[in-house]
Formats: sequence, C-alpha cells, structure tokens
Amino acid sequence: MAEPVEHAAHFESAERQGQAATLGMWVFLASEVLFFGALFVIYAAYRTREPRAFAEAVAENTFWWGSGNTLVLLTSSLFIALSVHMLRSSRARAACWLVGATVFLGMLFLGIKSYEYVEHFRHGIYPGGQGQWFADQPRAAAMAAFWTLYYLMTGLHALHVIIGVLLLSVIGWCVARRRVTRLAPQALENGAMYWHLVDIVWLFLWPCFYLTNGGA
Amino acid sequence: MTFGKYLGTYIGLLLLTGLTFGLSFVSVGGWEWPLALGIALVKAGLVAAFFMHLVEMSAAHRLAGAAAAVLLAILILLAVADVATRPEEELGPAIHTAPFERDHAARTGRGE
Repeated sequence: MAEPVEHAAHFESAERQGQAATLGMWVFLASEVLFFGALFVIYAAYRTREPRAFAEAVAENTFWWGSGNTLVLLTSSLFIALSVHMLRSSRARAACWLVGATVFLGMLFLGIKSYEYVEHFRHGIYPGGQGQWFADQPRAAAMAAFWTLYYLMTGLHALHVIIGVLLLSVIGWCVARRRVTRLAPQALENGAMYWHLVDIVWLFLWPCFYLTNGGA
Repeated sequence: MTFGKYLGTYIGLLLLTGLTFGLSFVSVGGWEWPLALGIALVKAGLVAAFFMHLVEMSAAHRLAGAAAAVLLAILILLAVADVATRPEEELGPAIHTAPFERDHAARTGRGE
C-alpha cells in the first residue's frame, strides 16, 4: 500500500480534503434534518391538537411489519458502519460484502414498505382522506391528516432509501474495482453517513406512525 | 472505533428498540408520544456518535450535527406550545386538511 494519495490542488493535503468532505456531508445532512423536520413540526402540531384520533389511527397501522422494518434498517446501519471499519483496516473484500448486505436490507425494507402500502389501499386508506373508509370514521378530518402525513413522510423516507440503495450500489462497485480504498475511503464514508441519516429518520417515523397507540 | 464498539452500539440500539416496543403495549397517558420520541432521540444520538464517528471528529463537525438537532427541537417545542396553549375558539373547531377538507365535508356531511 505504497501508492501516493492524490488530492485536489486547492487542498494542502489528502487529510485536509477528507476533513472538508466530511464536514460538507454533515452540513448537507443537517439541511436534510431540517427538511424532514418541517414535516415533523406539522405532525407535532396536529398530534397536539388531536391526540386521541392520532393514537387511534396509529393502532390501525401495520404494527408488526413496520416494527420489523425498524430491525431491518438498524441492522443495515450496523453493516454499513462495519463496512467503513473493514475498508479502513484494508479488508476491501469484507467491506464489499457488507455494502452488498446493506443494499439487500435496503431493498428488503422497500419490499416490506410496498406491501404495507398495498395493505392500506386494500383497506381503503388513501392519501388525502378520500373514500368510504374515512367517511365512516368519527374523526374523519384528523384521520385524513394522519394518513396524508403518513404517506407523505414515509414516502419521502422511502425515496431516500431508494437513493441510498442506488448510491451504495455504485460505491460498492467502486470498492470492488479498488477505486475506493483505505487511502481514499471518502465515497464509502459519506455514503455510509447518508445511510445512517436515513436510518435515524426512520427511528423517529416508527414511534410516530406505528407505536404510540394509546396503549391499545 | 473497534469492532466491539460497533457491536456494542448495535446491542444498545436493539435494547432501546425493545424498550420502545414494550412501551407501546403499556398505557402511559399523554406521556406516550414524548417518551417514545425521547428514546428515539437517544438512539439517534448513539447512531450519530458511534456509527457516524462523531465521537472521534473535530468540534466543527459536532457543531454542525448539534445545530440541526437543537434548531429542530426549538421549532417543534414552540409549535407544540403554540397549539397547546391557544384557546379553543382561536384554533377553530377541527383540523383543516385543505384543500381536501371542504370536499370531504360536503360529501359526508361531517369533518367539521
């Protein structure tokens, strides 16, 4: 491993370049937090206004599938963190397999999420509170608010998972082709950071939409 | 970071996940949602600190991460405080999910 470490001309050293890349990623992730945060504010305001209707709506959700998905994402987060660890200790092959496992779990998450959406549609629960199911609810407006937020927030999150899966697939390929190595691990490190943020967002979506059911 | 630390973080996350999961079967009244969010915050902290290597990074990196969390907490707390402390007549009778709300009320005769 004696190859020279290349860095762009406007950086003093490869180390400086690495630090700048990581800081840039943190600033990007902070902006993502505020982006999702605005939606959580809407959720918080509605939930404060209609706590009982929201708890009843949560009790209607696909509790076991959603909770299973939490385990899937947490485990994928461990895998991608270990992948960075492996690459840093020059075990590129192991890093590659771990990226592959993360991508697989990401796709499993999307599969389960799609199944949940199909289940909701089968029950007649659509975004925007359209249809007979909502008409039969005693608190139709609050229910419509809950389920519209559910589709919007989990849908936006699923979009991030799709982007993460594509991103990590490319990065995994680059690790396999030795374009991302121990000496230039930035791409994998930043991809992993993005994946962790996607995991963190789900950690908040899970209690908001699946767990807080009033102890039902 | 060592292999053991990653594994320890994961086990910690699993334990907290089990705790939130168990809490969903218990009735704790109005504290249910804030409590679940609090546990989620601890879990997010674990992921950020260890999986995202915040513990071994410079102050500038930690500041960027902390700024997002603190600003968001202020935003949510003030929004909730506003809704929770306003008198009923100022807020109106129900949630308005415009533009769906009006059609919905017309069709079902409810929602208002």
